[in-house]
Amino acid sequence: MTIVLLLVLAGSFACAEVVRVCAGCRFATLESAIRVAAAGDTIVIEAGRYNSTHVLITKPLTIIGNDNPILDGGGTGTVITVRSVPVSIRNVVITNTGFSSLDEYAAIKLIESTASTVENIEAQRCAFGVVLYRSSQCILSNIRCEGTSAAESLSGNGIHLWKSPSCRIKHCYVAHHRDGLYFEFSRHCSIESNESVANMRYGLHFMFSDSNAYRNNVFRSNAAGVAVMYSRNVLMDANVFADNWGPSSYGLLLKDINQSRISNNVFDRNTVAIYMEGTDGTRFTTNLFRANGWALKALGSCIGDTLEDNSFVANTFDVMTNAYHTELICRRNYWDQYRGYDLDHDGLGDVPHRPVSVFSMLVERVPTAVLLLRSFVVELLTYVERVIPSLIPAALLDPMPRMAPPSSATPSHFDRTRQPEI
Amino acid sequence: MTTALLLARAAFMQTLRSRSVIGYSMAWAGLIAATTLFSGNAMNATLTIVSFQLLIVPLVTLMLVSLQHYNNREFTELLLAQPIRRSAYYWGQWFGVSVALSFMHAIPIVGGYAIWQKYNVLLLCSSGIVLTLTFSSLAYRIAVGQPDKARGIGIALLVWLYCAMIYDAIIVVVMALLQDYPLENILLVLLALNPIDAIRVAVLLQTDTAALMGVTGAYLRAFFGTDKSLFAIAAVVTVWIGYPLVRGQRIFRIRDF
Repeated sequence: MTIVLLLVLAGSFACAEVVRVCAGCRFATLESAIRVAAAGDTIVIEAGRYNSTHVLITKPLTIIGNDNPILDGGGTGTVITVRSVPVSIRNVVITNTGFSSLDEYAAIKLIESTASTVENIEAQRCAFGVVLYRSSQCILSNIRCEGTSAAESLSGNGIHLWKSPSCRIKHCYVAHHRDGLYFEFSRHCSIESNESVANMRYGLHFMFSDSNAYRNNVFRSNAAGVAVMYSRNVLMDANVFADNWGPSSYGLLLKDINQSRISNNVFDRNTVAIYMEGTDGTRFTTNLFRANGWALKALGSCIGDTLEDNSFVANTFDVMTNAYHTELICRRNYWDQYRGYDLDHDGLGDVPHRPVSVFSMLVERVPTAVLLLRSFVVELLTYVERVIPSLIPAALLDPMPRMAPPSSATPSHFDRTRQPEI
Repeated sequence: MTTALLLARAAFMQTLRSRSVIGYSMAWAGLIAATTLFSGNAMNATLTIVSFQLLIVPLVTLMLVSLQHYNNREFTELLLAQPIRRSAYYWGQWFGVSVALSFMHAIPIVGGYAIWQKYNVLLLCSSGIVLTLTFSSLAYRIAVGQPDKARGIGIALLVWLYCAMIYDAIIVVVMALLQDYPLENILLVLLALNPIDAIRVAVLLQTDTAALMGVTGAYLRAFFGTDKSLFAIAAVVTVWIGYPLVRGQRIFRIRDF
């Protein structure tokens, strides 16, 4: 009996079949193909449009599109739901999910589907793009989510991970969704070379997601920039945060981020490039802050953060803090507002630089005061305060600022950001 | 009317030929060249030149216009002995001098733009010309009302010091003291009352610095809108140019030489 069973099982695995789906085939819909397919089979969807597709996959399958077939949800529900099995889905276009303020309708939803692969997917007019619940070790790559910019309450996130650790997300593009990339309780993920543009809320948003690495991503023109919270041991390297310009927009908002490292990023034309509160033990190295309103706003609740080898160029205000005593450590940064000298030619200035200007402190307390920007008196006051500090935090200083920006402060994909023009 | 135009042309030519005005124009050329060559981008170059304008143009205009009026005293007396209407002389003189100064200020700006194309030429020209007109009318009013040259120059200097520095310093102190109160509207009115501040705010609103004002900026934008606020500032500046001139004319009409 056991032998027979084993043989049957072995047979079913050995000849994993290829099931074809097309208008004139035996299976005209994906549903019917999935119904008869055995675990481990491959379903090939031929080119064409498949209307009102809503499938639930509960066996391990490989689904491959041939010549970009279009799976149309017809404006209701989720298009592909996967439950408790590893799957591989490739080369399909998914469109028209339902929109709801109660349910999270998505192009592809993986529930407890560990080690799945989702590749070369285009999600158009979907509430959510790809959603992972409790699905660890998944690989999402080359996913293009183009949302509808519907109302924020109806729209969803481009790529959404919930309790899904150790996933890899790479080469994805998300635009016009609520949040571009969203992670909650998802640790040890790697997020690389993605682009998140013009989303209604955040380009990237994560909470309780420790030990993630974000590399070479571009976050641009999102309504509220990027906001990340309650996580530790985060690495953000060589990303671009650009064009988040508006009264409540931040390049990168850090709330309760601990023991993390933010390096080699470019912050270009943001109202506030980095805003941080409750952020401890985090190192900011070789970032470029360019043409921002505020390069760095650090509230008094930040302790033991280090600012090293960064470049501050053409920002209206470089550093702002609301506390007289801060523990922000600055070392060897380049400040274009530095007026010191370098007599021994070691590349480091001989007198310290105080990056907080008294005017930026006034503006923090009385926002209207920014109307006095570029007034001669204000410039004079700033200069005098830098020489003889009495109102600005005297301890917040860069003892040996650089005379020229460090050479590594420009990642290769920086040229994609446009030049500021008046 | 024709007399006024003739006198304006004479004043215009006289100002153009003046060595100090030529020096002024050349100094601007140097400044613009330096700023353009050393600043990274168009926005920085524009804002740097505007900063210089806000400081230098009022001072130089006040000095040159009042000095010219005092130095022309004998010529004025001679002319007014002829059958010429005083108002024709008054308006012609102001118009000629201020247009000449605006012209000599605009030439290096336009020239620099023609060579490097690196700043907002329209913004710079308009702010420069408006500043020149405003302070030439103030200077004219001072010079006409004060027969003594030394005192006139002194008053002009004080006006400059007040507009360019003291006024803003007072505002900064007031804002620091009253930071718990809503100051948006009061501050806007206060800034409009100083021509240098009014023009500076107009330039700020042209750049997208408004986003720096956070909620206040959103409020200001929603309340005024960039175009409307520009219009309001233009109205204020018109008053700043017109009122001193009209007052000055009244004094000039009955003045005993």
